[in-house]
Amino acid sequence: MSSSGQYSYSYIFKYIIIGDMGVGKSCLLHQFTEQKFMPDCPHTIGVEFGTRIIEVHGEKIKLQIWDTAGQERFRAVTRSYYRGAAGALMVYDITRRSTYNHLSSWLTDTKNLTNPNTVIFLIGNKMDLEGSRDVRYDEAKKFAEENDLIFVEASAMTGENVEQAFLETAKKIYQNIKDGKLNANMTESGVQHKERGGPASLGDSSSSDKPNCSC
Amino acid sequence: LNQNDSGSSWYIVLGGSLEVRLITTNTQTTQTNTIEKASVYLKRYASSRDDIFLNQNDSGSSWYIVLGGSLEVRLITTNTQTTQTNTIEKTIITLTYLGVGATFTETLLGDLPRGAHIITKTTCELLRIQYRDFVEIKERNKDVISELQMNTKIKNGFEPTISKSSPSMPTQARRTSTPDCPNPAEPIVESPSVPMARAGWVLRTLLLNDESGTLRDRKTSGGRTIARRCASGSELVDWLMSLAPSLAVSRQITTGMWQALLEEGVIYHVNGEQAFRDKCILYNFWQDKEGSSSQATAQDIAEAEEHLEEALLALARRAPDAILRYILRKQPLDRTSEDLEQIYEELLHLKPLHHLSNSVRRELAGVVMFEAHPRKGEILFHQGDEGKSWYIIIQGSVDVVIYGKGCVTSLYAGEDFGKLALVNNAPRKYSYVFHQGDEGKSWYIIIQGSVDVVIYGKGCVTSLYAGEDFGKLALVNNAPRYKFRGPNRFQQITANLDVFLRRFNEIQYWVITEILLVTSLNKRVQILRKMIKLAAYCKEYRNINALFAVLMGLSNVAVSRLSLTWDKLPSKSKKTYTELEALIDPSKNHRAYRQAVSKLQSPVIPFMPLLLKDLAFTHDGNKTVVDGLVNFEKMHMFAQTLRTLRYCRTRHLVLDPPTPKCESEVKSYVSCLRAMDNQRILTSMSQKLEPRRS
Repeated sequence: MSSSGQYSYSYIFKYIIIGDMGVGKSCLLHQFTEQKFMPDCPHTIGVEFGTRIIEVHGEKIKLQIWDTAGQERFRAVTRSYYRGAAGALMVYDITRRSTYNHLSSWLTDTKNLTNPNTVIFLIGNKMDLEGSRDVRYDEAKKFAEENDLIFVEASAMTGENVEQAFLETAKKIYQNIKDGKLNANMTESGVQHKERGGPASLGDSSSSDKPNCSC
Repeated sequence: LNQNDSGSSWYIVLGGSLEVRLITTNTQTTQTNTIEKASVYLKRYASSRDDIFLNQNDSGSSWYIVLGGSLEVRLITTNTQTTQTNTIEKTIITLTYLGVGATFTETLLGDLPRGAHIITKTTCELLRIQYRDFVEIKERNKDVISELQMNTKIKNGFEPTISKSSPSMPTQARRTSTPDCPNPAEPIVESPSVPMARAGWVLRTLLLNDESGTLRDRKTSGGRTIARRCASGSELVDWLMSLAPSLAVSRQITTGMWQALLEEGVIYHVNGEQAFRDKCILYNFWQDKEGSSSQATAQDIAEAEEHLEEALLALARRAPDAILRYILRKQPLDRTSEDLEQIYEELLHLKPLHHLSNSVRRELAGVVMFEAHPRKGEILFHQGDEGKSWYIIIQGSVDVVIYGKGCVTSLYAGEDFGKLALVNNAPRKYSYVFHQGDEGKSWYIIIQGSVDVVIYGKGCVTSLYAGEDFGKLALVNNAPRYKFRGPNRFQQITANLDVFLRRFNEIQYWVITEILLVTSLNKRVQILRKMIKLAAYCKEYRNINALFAVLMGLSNVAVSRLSLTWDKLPSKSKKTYTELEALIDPSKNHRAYRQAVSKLQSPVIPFMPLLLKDLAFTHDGNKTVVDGLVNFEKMHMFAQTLRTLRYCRTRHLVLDPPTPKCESEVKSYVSCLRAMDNQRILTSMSQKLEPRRS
């Protein structure tokens, strides 16, 4: 691996993060990207704060996370984000059943608009609000199993399991690449392999991607 | 599938087999032709299960009804003026399909006759709000409603086609009318579903084997009769709780689990009068009610034990809904404040009620009733009946049968938004609300807060734009505001924004619908070309929001997969499209769009969803207060975003558009776009046009 600092990485994975309005999508994302990334960042972040470099099996991977927050009511708009996603984080709010009930329609979109190897991760957010729980863990777990999703309950507030959700997804995608299920050279795979030191070549992103801090 | 000049056509998509009966009441030649023509199609239809497409000739006097089978029906009328130009006196039938989340009935603002039959299509669960209750609520919120009526110029795009057609009313027996007081002890389905029947069997088997003897023959309260193998509600709850300590469910949920069984007719109150209650009231299983005396064998018991966990899980899953249904079936006066709170919570999640203010919702919580229609083919009300209730479908679907074309169009539009439905075709009392004093068919008016006013139901919303650009929407709302989503207030939206949003989606689906409605390949190429041209015009006039809507329509999979059509597109159009399409690429946070728009002079209509996203991100990603100090940088970012918007409106639009030959027609067409928004249906239409190549 190249050792030219934190901006070198060998893969880029594209994630999308979807779910009903108010389930805490961007909070999850914020929690994940802010936690370690640029710790001395002051109090504001720009509108695009969705990348972080992680390490899986010794390889540095840049996660590029596309959030649809604020646009949920424009389903067609959010659909345009799906293309070429390697991972999809589907979020609902454990204290609001309706957000759980809508999962099937989000899932349909995801399955229709991404490639078959896209890793879908189901997150029940707001697990810190146990008192107002409206969706039981085991029923969501069952839903996840039936639909072949990885599932975890998390809290964007406390940070519990947030890291895990993003990392597990990356591991699964990485595994798919190693198993040959995903071709890192295909645009549609949502994954791109970066030759050592070379610039990223995919249209979706470029090596000029800046850290997500406007400051 | 060409459209004739009168421009009105029905396109019916079906799934499943159908029984179609054709009833004719007139023998005029032209009409006979129509019928013959129709019959031809109908035959083909019934046999091949293919599409049916009826051309509407000058007049028609036939009435069709689909009597059986499960079906999906979509209606499309492509010309709003049809009713005017044609002298239709008699009726056309229309069947449509309403899905979960739809509401129908309408006449709540005035007491008007029903505009259509509503027939249950599958097992249905409905919420009903009675007219008198509604009126009361309306009275209490009168100020806002009258303000709305004064300030809003609602033009209804539909023609007055109040059923002159009543002579041809079918002599169809009215089977059921809606009972005013549903009996909460009645099962809501025709027969128990498999999981519930199984769960019931498991519990009964174990109960029979239980040493406590919970289930035994007892005297009923009067002491005169003996109820076989029954148990009291509280005993059953105790028993079930002791059975599943691992599930750790509350007493309330356990009660709900039993209620779930009762709802499906697995257990009964011995006298058939009570819902399941955690009290000293006796219940027995349906097997025992029918006098079965079989004893559980050891094998049965083993099997039951094996399935116990599964059964409990199934019950626990249904319990919350069962409890809610139980509450909803209670008479309003019997509801406790907790009940009301729970209903209120549930109403929050009902899409048709999204725009209601919280106080109205709270009042509704007191009056909504649950009713179930286990059988399909049940007629909820007839066209011409007095409108007494407003319904919200929770589950299942209903067919709507309507006479009169005007109605067809409106039905269609709302229905496609999935929540439609007001199916009324009658003159309104408040006719002064409507442009030109037309007979209106607007449905439901909903109020939010004291300023925000949202017209509910697609028909109305469309009429808001009536030939005007979005800026005039301020008719309804003097103070456009955008409220940030927060855990407590995320349901609150402003009227302008909501209408604007609907318009975005509407244009997009209109593009798709128009393309998919053309069956001839050459014509489809032409219309595709026209749409691309339209997109280019949008860009030229800097209506970027509409540009995006058209482009997203064109990039919808139902359109983009039509490779034959795209292949035949002239290369010039293709090039234009490719250039424009680059704009909607969301990569690098919509860089292409942001760059393009930064070069544009005001006035511009920006791509609104992105502005919302920027606001949402700024809000969610930054703390408002840091160490007790206001985060000024965050405020600055808000201001920056809003400044962009403000810049867009700094200058007036100066346009000198050509005057079209029939301006009013164009205007009314544009103000009331007909579109389907059901992706599944659109995709299947697309596949019929150009089947997938294997």
